Amino acid sequence: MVESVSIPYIKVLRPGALSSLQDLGRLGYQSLGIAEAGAMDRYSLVQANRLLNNPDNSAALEITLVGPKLCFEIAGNFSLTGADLSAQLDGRPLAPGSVYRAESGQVLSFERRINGMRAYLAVPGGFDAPLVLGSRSTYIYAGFGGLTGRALTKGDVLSCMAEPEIDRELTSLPESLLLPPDGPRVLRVIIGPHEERFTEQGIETFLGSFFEVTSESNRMGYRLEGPRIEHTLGPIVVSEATPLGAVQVPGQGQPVLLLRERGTTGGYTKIACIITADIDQVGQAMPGSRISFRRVGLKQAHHAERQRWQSLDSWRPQIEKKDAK
Amino acid sequence: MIYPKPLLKPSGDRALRITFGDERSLRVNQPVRALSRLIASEALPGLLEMVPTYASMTVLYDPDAIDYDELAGRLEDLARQASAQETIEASPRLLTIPVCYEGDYAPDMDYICDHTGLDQNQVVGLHTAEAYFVFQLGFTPGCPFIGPLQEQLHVPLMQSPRTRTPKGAVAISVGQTVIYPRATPGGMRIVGRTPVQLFQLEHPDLTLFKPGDRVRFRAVSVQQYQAIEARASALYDGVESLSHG
Repeated sequence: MVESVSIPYIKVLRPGALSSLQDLGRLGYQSLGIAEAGAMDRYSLVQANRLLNNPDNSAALEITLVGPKLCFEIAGNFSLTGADLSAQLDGRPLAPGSVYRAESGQVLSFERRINGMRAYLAVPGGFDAPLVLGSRSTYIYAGFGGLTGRALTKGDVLSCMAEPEIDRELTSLPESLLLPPDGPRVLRVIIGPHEERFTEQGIETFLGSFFEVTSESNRMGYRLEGPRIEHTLGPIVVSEATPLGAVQVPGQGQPVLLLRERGTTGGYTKIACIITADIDQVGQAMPGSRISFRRVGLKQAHHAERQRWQSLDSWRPQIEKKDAK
Repeated sequence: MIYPKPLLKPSGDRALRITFGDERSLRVNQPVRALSRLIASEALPGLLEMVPTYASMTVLYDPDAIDYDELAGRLEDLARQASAQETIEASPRLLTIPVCYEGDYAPDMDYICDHTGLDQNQVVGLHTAEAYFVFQLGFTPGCPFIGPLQEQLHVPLMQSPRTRTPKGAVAISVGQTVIYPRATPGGMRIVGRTPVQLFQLEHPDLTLFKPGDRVRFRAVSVQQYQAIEARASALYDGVESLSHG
């Protein structure tokens, strides 16, 4: 058995808007109403872990929009990926996509948002938190996982599960793997399963329009606003499973993207489902940004997902089997 | 209606949905239950999770381990067998759950009486009359969808949902009863409240209910509710009877 360590590493001086521990999520419990939770942008999470040679499923800190203020209790390394929230270590700017080193007492802070919505901070071995149903992810809406089911608060001390100092060169991601700049996003979808509950015009509106991300957007789901998508027989269906990325259209004809802390069943029509390869992008889309949808087939969807992990593997393959991918 | 044959369809790029009909009824749910058992007894490669619901089964799969068409072929066979099965579960559990239908525990009772034309005794009488069926868990951890609800008790959803429905709220809408395992927003009409726990991480069962269980509600007074609440800290505490049959 591998001896696990837990070394107090980072103290929370200010929690930021919403910073929570997340790994790849909690699989296997949707039939009990338990959603996966996990990182909203898993690709960036895995990048942060691979920068430190961590297993892909190690818990990292998901930092939303307004970053925390963190003090390193001892010297060590960390990696940053995903959104650019203008991280600074004692005032020195740090770009996303690299490993850094902090001295004991140094302070990591975040000034303002520059690109994306969610940044990931990983530490050697991953952050320590109890495994709850096989995952360290915080399920905020259900109140468990991570730090007793909640976001960071002032005074928390986060521990890492390996020696905080790594004995390797500090690496960076190649530019091709960094989060692309903000802009309108085209999300590829598998149409249905309730496409027959929309008029031909309704489907055209969905696939041919821009929708704006509203401020009612969080880890459960994103509400979008745009031209009304027309139903044939109304929005109510017999409640059924809601896969990750499902695009639900309730009565007002406005799409809702169902994300990592969604209700696991739902009784509204689903016009489509975002393909797995594009779901992470949603986690980086800011309120006010524009989204459109493009229909693809299953084979294309599966190919796209394989391809993006191959790109990452070709830079640095996983060191362990990717859990729960 | 019940479909002449099960309908298989992708629901996204990692889920396959098998639908047996478009109503919330035992006759449509029965093949869903049967399919759960059939899939569980097969070793299907790439199968990640099953989510059984009222009228459909959604199977989550790993497309790197199995091709959609192959999975659909295997599941279509099983779904046909499930449709042909006559029997329901041999010995479902029957759980009797205390519910207080009074005062602050039933904030929508007046609305429900107005809308249904029944008085409070009649509403409670109907809601405690039958052993209902747990069709699915969903929405939040441990939240049961229970029915079929007698037609006299059907009430529409609220125009704008409550931002906070209390923990243990027993709520009804068209055709179903749900119980909220913890305080969450909710749009159904609250007919009463139960002091029992519906979800407990430390318990090996995790959730009080499983799809396929039978459940009967029993009316309790405010005093009885509070007495049970004071001691109901773990799953099954305060559940009045748990029988097989």
